[in-house]
Parts: sequence; structure tokens; C-alpha cells
Amino acid sequence: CGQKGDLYLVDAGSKAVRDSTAILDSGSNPQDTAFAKIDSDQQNTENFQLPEPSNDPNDY
Amino acid sequence: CGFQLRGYDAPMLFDVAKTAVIIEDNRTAFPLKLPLTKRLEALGVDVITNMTLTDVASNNQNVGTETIAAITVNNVRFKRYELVGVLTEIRLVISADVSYQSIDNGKPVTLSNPIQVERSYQYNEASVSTDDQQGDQIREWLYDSLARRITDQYVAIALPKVTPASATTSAQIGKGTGTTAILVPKP
Amino acid sequence: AINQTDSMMPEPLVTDSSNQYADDVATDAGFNNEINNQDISYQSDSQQSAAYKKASLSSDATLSNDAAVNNNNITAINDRTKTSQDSRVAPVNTSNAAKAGNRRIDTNDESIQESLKRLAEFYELTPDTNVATSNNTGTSVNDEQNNIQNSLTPVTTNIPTVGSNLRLLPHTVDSAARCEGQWVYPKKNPNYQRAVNEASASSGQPAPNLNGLPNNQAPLFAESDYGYYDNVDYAELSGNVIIDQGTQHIEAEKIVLDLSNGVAAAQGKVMFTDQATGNVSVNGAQDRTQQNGKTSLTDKATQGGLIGVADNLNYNTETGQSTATNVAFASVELQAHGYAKRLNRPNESQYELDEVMYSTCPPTNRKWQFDAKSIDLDTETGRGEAYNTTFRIADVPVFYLPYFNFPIDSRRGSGFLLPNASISSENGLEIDVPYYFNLAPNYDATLSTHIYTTRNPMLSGEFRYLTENYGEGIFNGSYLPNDKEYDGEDRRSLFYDHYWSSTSIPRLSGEAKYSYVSDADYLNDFDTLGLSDNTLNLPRRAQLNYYNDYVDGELKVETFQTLDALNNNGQMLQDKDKPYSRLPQLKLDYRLPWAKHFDITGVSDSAYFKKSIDDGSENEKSGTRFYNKLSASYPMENSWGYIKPKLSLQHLFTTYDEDSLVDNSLDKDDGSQSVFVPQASIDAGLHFYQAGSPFGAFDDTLGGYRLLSPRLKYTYSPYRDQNDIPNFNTRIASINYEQLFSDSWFLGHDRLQDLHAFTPGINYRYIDATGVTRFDGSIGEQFYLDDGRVTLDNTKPVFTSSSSGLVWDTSTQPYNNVWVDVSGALTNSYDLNYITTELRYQPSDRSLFNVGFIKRQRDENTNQLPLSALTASAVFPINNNWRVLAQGQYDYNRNQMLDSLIGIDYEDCCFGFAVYGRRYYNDLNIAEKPTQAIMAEVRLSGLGSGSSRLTRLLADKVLGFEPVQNAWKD
Repeated sequence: CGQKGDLYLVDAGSKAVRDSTAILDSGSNPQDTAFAKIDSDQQNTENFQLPEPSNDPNDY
Repeated sequence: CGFQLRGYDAPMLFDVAKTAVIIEDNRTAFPLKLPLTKRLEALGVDVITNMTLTDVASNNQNVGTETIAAITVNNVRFKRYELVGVLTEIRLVISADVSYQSIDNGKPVTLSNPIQVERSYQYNEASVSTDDQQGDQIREWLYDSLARRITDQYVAIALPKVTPASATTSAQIGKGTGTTAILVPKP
Repeated sequence: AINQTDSMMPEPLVTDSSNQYADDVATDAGFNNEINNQDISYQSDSQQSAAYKKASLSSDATLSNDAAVNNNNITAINDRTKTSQDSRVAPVNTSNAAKAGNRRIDTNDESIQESLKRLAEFYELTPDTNVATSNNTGTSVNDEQNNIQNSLTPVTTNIPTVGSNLRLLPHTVDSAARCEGQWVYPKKNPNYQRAVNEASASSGQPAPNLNGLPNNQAPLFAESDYGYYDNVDYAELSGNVIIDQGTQHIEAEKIVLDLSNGVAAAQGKVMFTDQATGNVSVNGAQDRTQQNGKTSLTDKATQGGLIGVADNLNYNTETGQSTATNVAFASVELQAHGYAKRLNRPNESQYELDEVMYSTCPPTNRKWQFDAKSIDLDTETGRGEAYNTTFRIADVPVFYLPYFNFPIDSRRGSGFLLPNASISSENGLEIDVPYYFNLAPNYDATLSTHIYTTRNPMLSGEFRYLTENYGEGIFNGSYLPNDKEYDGEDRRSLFYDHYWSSTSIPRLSGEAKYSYVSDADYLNDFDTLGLSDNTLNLPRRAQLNYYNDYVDGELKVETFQTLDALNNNGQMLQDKDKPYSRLPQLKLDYRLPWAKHFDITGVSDSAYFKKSIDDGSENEKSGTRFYNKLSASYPMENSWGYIKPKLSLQHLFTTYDEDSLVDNSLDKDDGSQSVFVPQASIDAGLHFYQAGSPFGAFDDTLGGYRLLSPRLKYTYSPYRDQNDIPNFNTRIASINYEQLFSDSWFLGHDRLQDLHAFTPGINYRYIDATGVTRFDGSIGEQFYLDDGRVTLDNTKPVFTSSSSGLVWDTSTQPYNNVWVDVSGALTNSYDLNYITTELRYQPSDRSLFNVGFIKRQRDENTNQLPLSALTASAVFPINNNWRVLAQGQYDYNRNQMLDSLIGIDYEDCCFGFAVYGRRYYNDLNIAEKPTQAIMAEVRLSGLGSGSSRLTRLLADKVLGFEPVQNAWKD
């Protein structure tokens, strides 16, 4: 079986010079990592209202 | 009811005048520097922001130099917990590992602990502009609350201590000892 | 194996023939042979040192004939009398290494049991320590930061914590280590040091310091009952032979050294290690380092720490080859052990093991093991190859692999990663099999095939790269051809993230992000863990950021993929519902350090907002917006109070772009508007201080001090007409205590609020003697002197009530392991506006309970919509191995459990698994029926178990989960 690990840069003497940051952290389920990264802010769509469970505003 | 204006008639005399604030230099931790520095300076602390921990240690080692206290803030991080649903609630949590190094009647003392502050706000994926401005606004307040928690903790560590026995009634603690003091339970 | 690098032994054989050792040293504690299978009665350390009878080994002692080698599997070194020294010796090959047929090694075979039993002697059982489980978690985290401080400053004392833990659960789970014991290094022969000192003393040099000296330069000390040495090149030792050289240590019944042709052979109860610990009392092997799958077999083994017992061991001092038979070996570093019928080590970096058994489980109860006909390890390439391997759990064969190539150190290696399986109502049974391509040190790829019973298989691939100057990035794409469950459409996704930080300008960084999915249900169908907090608009942006003490800037270009969803009237989303793109947007927050007493700050936000309307759903309103605010404040602050007068001037300039001018049939002038709004505010407050606890109730336990801070803020900004300026990204802030004291309720810069109000508020804090905030409560209300006339969209007036209503915010830590937050607001007619509360209780390091309740009513002012939800999560161990994890979110309004997860997790010394089920609703369409998914994970410690999906899911959903997970893993 294989073994996944962090990327790193090597200098001329093939000595590891720099590691990757957390942005490249991913394991054996890469698509999970991609899903977790999607979150971002949402655009204002004023008249897209959520389905209203009931019309009386304060009946809960 | 025993409350006095802080430091008005009973001055706040810190065991150590100079305090180094040591914060990591990254985009998440950096915004904490200004509110923390301002709050400490408002208490009369002489804040130094360009020293590292080893500078402080080596300074405190050689005799004759004025000892410097240190507040080290590491691992400042935000965590966002979101409920399922387009109309949802987001709990934004700021946490940091904070270590203090001060002098308590002549002896160096240290304390480290995690500090965490959280706020919850409504977030509507459908009708909120793409920028989570409410989130950005709350992050600013969380930085300020974290700075306040750190300052409050530093005050508890750096001010002179009195034990309940020595202070007959808590009202007199302020006037009695001539300086603002912290009540310490008997060990 | 003796890894004697140079063949000639540099030091003369330190024989103690010259002086008599008194017999008193001998303590008769031979190996306790009647170790029965299960209960390995283990002697304490002191007796472990094998008894040896000291024989006066005179230099001309002849090998007494009864010690003739009786072990029939003597190697090719034919038995030689001392006279025929010059006969050539056949190269070392073991006569009895019968090429094992494909006979599986049967671990309950007598000789194997024997070796394993002898090896198990170095498995030190830990006495069941009942580690006090409840150490409080709140304070005194002593990270290495603390140790640096301690080491530098003289005697630094740790301030002791105050307060106590709440103990609700009577019995707390014993958190003793999960392994019955751990492999420890054998001890060096205690006489070694003394002999070395005497040898050097008698020859006049100072005693060499042993540690740090490479083994082949360390003096060699041999000891045995009988010995023969022809003072030339042939020596024979028999009877409890012990040889020590540096940290190498070999014991056997008989050892023959024939230096003329470089052959050494040890026979009979051979024990060898290359990491014998020096001091007599074995201080126990390093504590079991956490197996994070990163460091692996030889990466650790090469640092020494290998112990082996064998029937015989042969070593060719010229070629460095060594061979042993019937070997039971253990690695202290890896806390793993195994057995091999034959171990051959052709050179320094290669091991060949035949008929092998390997497991990281304790010898006393081997839950799983690998049996292989042969395993070849190569420390140069860091790879191991196993042939005809059977993986057994509790002696039941689980799977068989003819060939199996695996990594033996932390170096990356191509190959299959740990597959995982799950069952869900969406995808049926799903098996994901990832394959990893280690293309280069700075880029790699992972290709996963997802096999579903209800859909065609999906191929998903990830490509990662790291460059010297251009940053690093990660692509993740997926493709599922004609999905039966989605009327034959192809399902595709692409996610891309890139991050760059400048090396020349330290605080300059940039990032890029692109996301694409083929349809609105992609995330709901394939993100079974719900990590994506489903989004309606997937971001696509490139951004530059810079910060320093005086400016914090962000330049970005951003657009979105809006997933088609239905709005509340059941119609498809139209262009007007889509977000504005920003082509580009520049945001700057800056402080001008010119005037000493004045605090001059500024905000600048310029952007071109574009939302093209092609379906005629409304007139396009795209355009450019320039917002600027310059503020000057004169803060007067000291320890007992503050007054901060502030004057600001805001300017907003918006102009429609061409398309919008045409759409709204406006000419250039009508299409642009400019508004100036000044603002004045005074923020004042006092700080009252009193030492001691509230009502003196906790003076003896917590001590500390209290602060009472009243605050009053007055704000005035006049009304300027602006309601028909387009609103690109502005909303009204939600109500909470801090918002009452901010300059404007409009977040986003499309509206400059006409706020004429004053806000009284008071904050009360109690901080204990060690500075932990035990209570922090604030309450306030904002009173409006004029009605608000600025609105978001020209219809609903806002801020026309007399006050905001009472708002409070409290957070307490009554015990060191209990946190309670309650915040809320009443409307100005004293009905409930909202309340949110969260209770967190951590009975021990390894358990956690959260309960949260949120109730929000409709609020016209702030556009707040009704929401009523209860959230709860629990992580608690049942015993040292089993624990239960649960998390749920219940929606009162819809009386539905929107998201729930229940899982059990088993963790043992060398083996762990988790089974968990999740039931969740589709974010974008809660009316749809929920998805149910059951997932399972298996973890074999020491074999790269990698990150667990369950841990990632809980870390994403449960507040405070990470420290509990770390405590559970240790």
C-alpha cells in the first residue's frame, strides 16, 4: 500500500527546505477535504425568501 | 458598596512596570495586538511589542536590568460551527493559548491556560450578502473580548495580593493596603 | 543482528583472565523457564540480569571436551580444534534454513512459541495504575512554551489553579494505558563498565565515555563460563556467553569467533540487541510514542531498538552478512514484534525474512497479525515487499495478498491508501479505494474510485503542488458518467485552492479559489459527512491581502456559481436572485499615525459590482461604488474611566454601468449619486473595582476581584436621501450587546445610517485569583431620539421604535470544567426577541457534553427570521476501549431532527474501529426526505491509519472536541 505525506521543497542537495502549509492537508479521502473547503460567504439575494412555516410572525 | 474607581485613589502598582506582549505574526493573530496593547496601556502598563520570549528571558537573567514581565499569546484561531439549513445559526469561537510570566514579590511566576470566547449569530445563506459581514464584525468584537480576558487575567497575576484574613472587610482592601490588590484564597 | 561494521575487533578481547572475579556477583536467577503461555510471570528488573557463574578464564584454558558443540544446526563453520587454524571455512549459510515450502508458519508450533516466549520477557507489563482521571482541564496547560520559560528564568513557580471540578458522574473511566505493557530494552551487562574501566586503568589511559561512542569503536567485553582464545584469531566461548560492545549486546550458550576467515557464530538461546540501555535499572523504554502513522518501520528501527532471540546467529565479519534462524524480534520504537523462521541480512540496509509473522499487538494478546511466506525490507528505498501474505484477526484469515509492497519509513510511496466503506440511502453501498501517486517531492496525485451499488462508479482525483516562489495549490475533480439516480446525467465537480505568500514582502499573501458542481444536488448526494455546510453560491475568487500596524488591505476579484434552487414561491431562482460579482473590490482599513493624541483612522471600499440580468427578472443594477470614511477621535483613557469623542465623515459615490443605464433608461448624471454623511459620537465609561468575590461567597475558594463598568454612548448622524442607491452587499446587523455601541446598524457600505441615539449599558465581571473570568455579564438598551429614515429597499421603515429593547450577554465558568453562555434580547415591548444559550460540561479529559438552545423571533428592524433549534452533542467513554459519540440538531419549528449522528468507537492497544450513522436533511430543500448513511472505519496502529473521517466530522460539528480526542488517543 502507499503512503501519503506532506509535500516539501528540496534544495540542490535534495535536503527538505520547506513544508507545505495546512491548505494542502488531505488524507485518503481527498473529496472530503475539498467539501470542507467550499465554505465561503453568500451573496445577497434580497427577494429569495425562505419558505415561511407560518404566516403569523410571532406564533412560536 | 465597596466599589472604588479603579486606580483613582488607590493606585495600581504592578509588580513589574514593563510588560512584553508577544503575539505571532500572522493574519489571524495580528489583529489582537492593538486592542491588547491599548487595554494594558490604559492600566498604566508600559507595553513593549518588539521583544521575543528569549529576549525577555535573557534580559531578566542579567542582574541590574529591570525585569520585564511577558504575555505570550499562541495559536490564536477561529472556529465556526454552523447548523444545518439555509437559515442557520453560526457560533464563532476565538481561542488562544496564553502564557504569563511575571514576578510575585520577588519570585518569578508563570501561568498558562487556554482562553476561549464565543458569539452566536443568525446567518441566512439566502438573504445575506456574500460577505459574511456579521461574521467579520463579530470577529472584531471577539478580538476585543479576548484582549479584555487576557488583560483581566494579567491584572490578577501582576497586582499585589492580599489574603481574606488580612483584609477585615473587603471594602477596606482598596483603602486598607493603599494600592489596588487582588484577594487570594488561603493555599 | 550484530551490525559490526568493520570486521576486525579493534580492542583486544577484554578477557578477565588476569584477575579473579569474586563469585558474589553471581545471583542465581536464571531465566524462569516455566513461563506458561498466558501469564508471563515476569521478574522485576533487578533479577533480569542473567545469572552467570564467573569462571576464572585463564589464558591457556582449553576447551573442555564436554562443551563440545552439541547443537546440531551448527553452521558451516565446521567444528575445529585449536590446532588446524588455517582451514578455509565455507561461506556462512545456515544448513537448516530449509527453503520453506509454502507451509504457512503455524504460530502455535512448539519452537515458535518458545522463541516468542523468550522474546516476551522484554515485554514489561505495566502495573495497572489507576491514573487519577479527573485533572481539571481549564487551567495550566504547560506547553513547551512554559518549559522554555522555566529553563531560562531561575526558579519559576507555576501559579496553582483555584476552583474545583463539577463531578456528576460517580464512576470515571480508568484511563490506564490500553496496552498491557510495552517492549523495553534489555540491560547491558553491569560488568561491562567496570571491565572497561579496569582495562583502561591497567593500560594507563582514561576510561572512555561509552555513550555517544559508535559501537564499532567501543571496547568489546566478553564474558562466559568457559573460553578458549588462541591469542591469534580464533576464540570460542561457551556457557552463558555475554558480549557487549557499546550498545550492542549478545547472549548465547556458545559463540565461536574465527577471525582468520571472518566468521562468528552464536548458538543456543541467542539474544541480540543493538540498543542495550546502560544503567542497571531499566528506566523503561521511551513511553509509547503516539503512532501517528508518520514514522514507520525502519525509520525507527534504524535508530536501533531492535531486540531479537534466535536459535542461532551467524555473522560474516568480511561481508557483514548475518543470518539467524527461528528468530523472534521486537522493535521498541514501533512497539511491534514478530517471528521469522529465518532472518538473513545480506548487507547493512537489507533484511530478508522467511515465514514471517508481524504484529503491533502485545504478545500477551495478539489480536491481529500478518503471516507472510517472505518479507524483504530495504532501508535504502524505504520499501518492504511481502509475498503470500495473509492478514489474520484473532487467527481468522481475513484477506490474502500474493504480493504486497508497503512503506517502511515516513517517506511517501505510491500505492493504495486505506479504502473505506459506507452505506447510505442515497448511494447504497459505497466503497472508496484511493490510489496515491508520489510523483515528486513537491507534487503528487491521489486517484479514488468510488463504487456504488445504486450508481455508476465515480472517479475523483486530487493533484497537489508546491512551488518555490509561486505558492502551493490543490485541485480536486470528480466525474460520474450517466448517473442512473439522476436521470442519466453526468455528475462532475471541480474544486481548486491556491495559496501564495510573498518572500520579498513578508506580510503580503494571496489566494485563489474556484468551485464548480454539475448540479444543485451534487453536494447533498456525495458529501455524506456534511462538511460543506451546504452553500447556495459556490465562490470563485482571486485575492491579495496585506497587513501591518497601520493598514489592512484586501484586493479581490470574485464571482459565484449559484446552484439552481427553488425560492419560497416554488419558482426557480432567477438572475435577480444571483449574487453580485466583484470585478474587482479593494478594501482598506488604515490608521494615520500623525497626530500624537488623535486617533485618525479610515475605511475605504471601492468595487465594481456586476450582476447581469439576462432573463428580464428585473432591471440590471450593476455599477461602481466608492465608499470612504475618515474618523478622528481624541481618546482620553486611564485605569478608572474613559471618554472618547469621535468625528467622522462618510462619503458614498455610486454610478450605474452602461448596461444598467440602458436597462433603467437613465442618462449618465441620473445614474450616479453621491452622498456625504457626517457623524459624531461620544463614548464614555467608568471602571469600578473591588477586590474579593461577589458577596464574599468565594473569597476562600476563588478570591480574585470584581469590575463594574457603566458605559454611555451618544451617536448622531443626520439623514441624507439615499434609499434608491442600489444595494450591492448591505444588510442590517443582528442585535446583540456590542452592536448597541457600534456606529451603524448597516453592515456593508451601501447605506449611511441616520442614527440619533444614546445607549446606556453596564458590564459586571468577576475574575478569580488566577485571572480566570468566572462571570462576565453585560446589559444595555439603545434609545432612539429620531426615527430612522434610511432603509435597505425603500419599503419597510426601520428603527422607528423608541428603543432597541433590552439586550444582555453573559458567560460564566462556575466550575473549572463547566461553561455556560446565555445571551438574548427583548423587544422594546418586552417580548422575547431572541435567546441563545450553550452549556458545555467536561467531566473528564476524555468526555464532553454540549447542550445549546436557540430561539429567534421575527424582528423587522434587523430582518431576523424565526428559528428555534436545540443542539446537543456527547462524547463519553464507557470503558477504556469503548466510547459513544452522538450529535444532533432538532428544529422546533419543523419538529424535525435536521441532523443527527450516533457512533461507537473502539480503541485498543494495536487495533481500533468505529461504526457511525448519520441522518441529515438536504440544506437547500428541507422538505425532501432525509438521507441516512452508515459508515465504518478500521485502524491498525503502526500501519499508517491516517486521519479518520469520524474525527473530522465531529471536529467540524462539536465544540471543544479536539482536546477530548487527543486525550482519548493517548
